Amino acid sequence: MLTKMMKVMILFSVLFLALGLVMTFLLSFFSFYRYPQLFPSGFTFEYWENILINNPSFFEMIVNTMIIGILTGVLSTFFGFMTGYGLVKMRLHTKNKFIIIYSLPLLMPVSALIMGIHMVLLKIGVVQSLLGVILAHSLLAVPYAINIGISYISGISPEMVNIARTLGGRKKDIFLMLIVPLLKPGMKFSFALGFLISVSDYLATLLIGGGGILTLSVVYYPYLNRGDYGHASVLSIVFVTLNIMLFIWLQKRRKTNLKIGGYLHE
Amino acid sequence: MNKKYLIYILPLTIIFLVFIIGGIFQIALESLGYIPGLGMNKISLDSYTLLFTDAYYYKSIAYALYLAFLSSFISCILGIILAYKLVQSKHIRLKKILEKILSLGLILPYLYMTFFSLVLLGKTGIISRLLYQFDIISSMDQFPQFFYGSSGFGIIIIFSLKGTFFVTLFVLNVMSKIKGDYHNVALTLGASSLKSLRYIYLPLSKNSIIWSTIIVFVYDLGAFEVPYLFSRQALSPISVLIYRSYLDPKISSIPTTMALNMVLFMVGILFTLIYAALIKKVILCLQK
Repeated sequence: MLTKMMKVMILFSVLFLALGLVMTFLLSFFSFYRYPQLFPSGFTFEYWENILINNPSFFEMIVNTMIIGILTGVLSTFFGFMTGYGLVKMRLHTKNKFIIIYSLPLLMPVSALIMGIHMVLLKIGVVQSLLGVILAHSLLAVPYAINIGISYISGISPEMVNIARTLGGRKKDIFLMLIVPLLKPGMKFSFALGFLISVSDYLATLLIGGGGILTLSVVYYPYLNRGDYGHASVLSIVFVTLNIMLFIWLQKRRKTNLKIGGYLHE
Repeated sequence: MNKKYLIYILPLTIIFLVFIIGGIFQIALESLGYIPGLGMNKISLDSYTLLFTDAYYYKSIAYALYLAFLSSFISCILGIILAYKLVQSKHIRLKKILEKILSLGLILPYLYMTFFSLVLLGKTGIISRLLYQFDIISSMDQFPQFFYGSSGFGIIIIFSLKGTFFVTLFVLNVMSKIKGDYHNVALTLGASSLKSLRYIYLPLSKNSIIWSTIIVFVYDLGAFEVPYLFSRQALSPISVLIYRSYLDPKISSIPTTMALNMVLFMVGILFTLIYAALIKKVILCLQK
């Protein structure tokens, strides 16, 4: 009974997902799509040419997206794990209070958060810069990074650290050869999440970048708004490919993670 | 608390104080009409009185709450069911496939999800075309208008889709831990599948259910990208009003924009608290 339902569910979701992805692909290559016809016809490279070749800012867009995404991932992971480390060592009561404060970016409406950050940035004198966008994205991602950090750091057995110390490990060695390898899978996960949040974001990039910083989402949105499915599907493919590549990278790592994961408490 | 560890939380705390708390403070100031940079030095409650006397804004807030509540509720229920089914299943291969699909769904951006849903479920989408080919409908007008209507079904579909992936994976994480500890005990004592969900899984994963649902709720409440595509002038959620007002080049609209932000912020906090208490109560009631 249970497995039958699961099978049907899987079949449906796979069909649904596949249909959507196939349609995205077809719409990027075929331009004629009048109502009753099931699949579009009229093969053309026009959409791909317009986005990849005739569009001088394509390269800039990809570079911006990657730079902002990677730096967001690195920054949010760094600050998230550092803060997580401090929080793990705290007493439970104070820790919970701090966790709620650090979750503010998730518990606030995005517009208030972004406009607030934007105004502070203007006060400081940072206008239309990559730096501001990266900061905003990192603030959106850091609550997740802290949570991931806490669960991985609290998973490290204190006994192992003690054993290392008994065996004469220096502080630096213990950190680099024991703690960091154990935290690595969590850091990768946190980095990937930060990158995804950054790539998917539209509002922060638009407002803080002042429209001057082109990323995939910023370029994508107007096509969607206009109902221009041809160009939108080309950008969709770029979008999805980027995310799926990251996904595959993350999944691949899982195998080695399992070995290290065996040492974690949780 | 060990003072030594304060150093680790200090940097981020300062960043949060400056940019988030400082940002809210700045929004509050500008909502009161105090923008010295533009020569507006008087503090007044004008923008708030404007908001509170206009029924349009009440409708907009109610609409935003309706969209966010319904989609997070759907995500919560579907998420719990999916996570529970996944935990219960003994087919490791099926489980793995479904987990992959779920994480794939999680990483697809909202904007692509919107495109995806339009191509599939729009009035001229592939489902509508399929129904036409099989003579179930005779014209595209017979296909329901999910998007662009005031019912907001299209927005809810997109929000729920994304939300469900999130809640499922979040709750699944906790439920798989519970399984190891309590599942066999429950089975030995003769608990049925539904009973073990009610008395064991739900109460123990309560916090993660509340947490993930609330995150989805607040996100949907404040998100403007998706509703902006589908809502009309007559009825838009407050997030869309904020964006429109923000784009308005008139200086006088700045206090209004910020007042709207403050209202959304307050409404968000209030309803988040109510919502969290409500879910908690329902789970506790189920236990009795």
